Amino acid sequence: MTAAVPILRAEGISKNYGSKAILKEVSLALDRGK
Amino acid sequence: MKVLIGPSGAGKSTLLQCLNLLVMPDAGRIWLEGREVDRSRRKGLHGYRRQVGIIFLVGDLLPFRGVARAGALLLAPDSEKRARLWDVRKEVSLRIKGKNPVYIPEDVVVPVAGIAEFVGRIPEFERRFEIAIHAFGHAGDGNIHLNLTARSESDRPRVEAAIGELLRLVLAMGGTISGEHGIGAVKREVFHPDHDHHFRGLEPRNS
Repeated sequence: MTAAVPILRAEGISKNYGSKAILKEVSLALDRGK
Repeated sequence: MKVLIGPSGAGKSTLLQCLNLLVMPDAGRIWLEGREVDRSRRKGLHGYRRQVGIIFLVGDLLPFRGVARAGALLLAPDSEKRARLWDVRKEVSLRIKGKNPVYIPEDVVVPVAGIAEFVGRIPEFERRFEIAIHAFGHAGDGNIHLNLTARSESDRPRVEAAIGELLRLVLAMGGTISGEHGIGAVKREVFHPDHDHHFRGLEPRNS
């Protein structure tokens, strides 16, 4: 059985404000609600 | 349903804003329905934000009572989901109105890049004027619905004073106070054509 494609997928999200790292390589997947 | 929990400053709001591309991540990739989002194309971003919306909640909206600030990322990739989202959006205003003897809705637009800053400053106005402000809107085009409320008619002057200050902030940020509507009698005191670059373009002397 093929796994369903997540509705939203993010990989390696990083965000810095100045020298401060707020997000460091965040990954997630959101599936369709049932 | 997925829930994001973390201490203040952990990056919860930043993550939501990065997923919506309201704030551009420094690194990373995003796929919607299996298709990678090209964030270099400005035109495509508008369509993306229509499908991946953020609702910022400020104040004591019922489901989040006691939470100073919260945000929700809502996905509406099809017409059925979008219709449900609109139903929720209408219900939010009715709930706020029903709970508060003083209820004044306002509609403003700030530059998309300034939404996070503007929404982040709303609690400062709540403290200063001792009122509650519920804000939500369309992140894709910078339109923010401000619902200013108070518990008693005697608080109304403070609500009106807060509106004036908020509208001035919107103009200072390069936004427009007409939102989806007009200026009308209520905003006349704050409005001046020289302060609103959108309106200035319509002035015959500038054409």
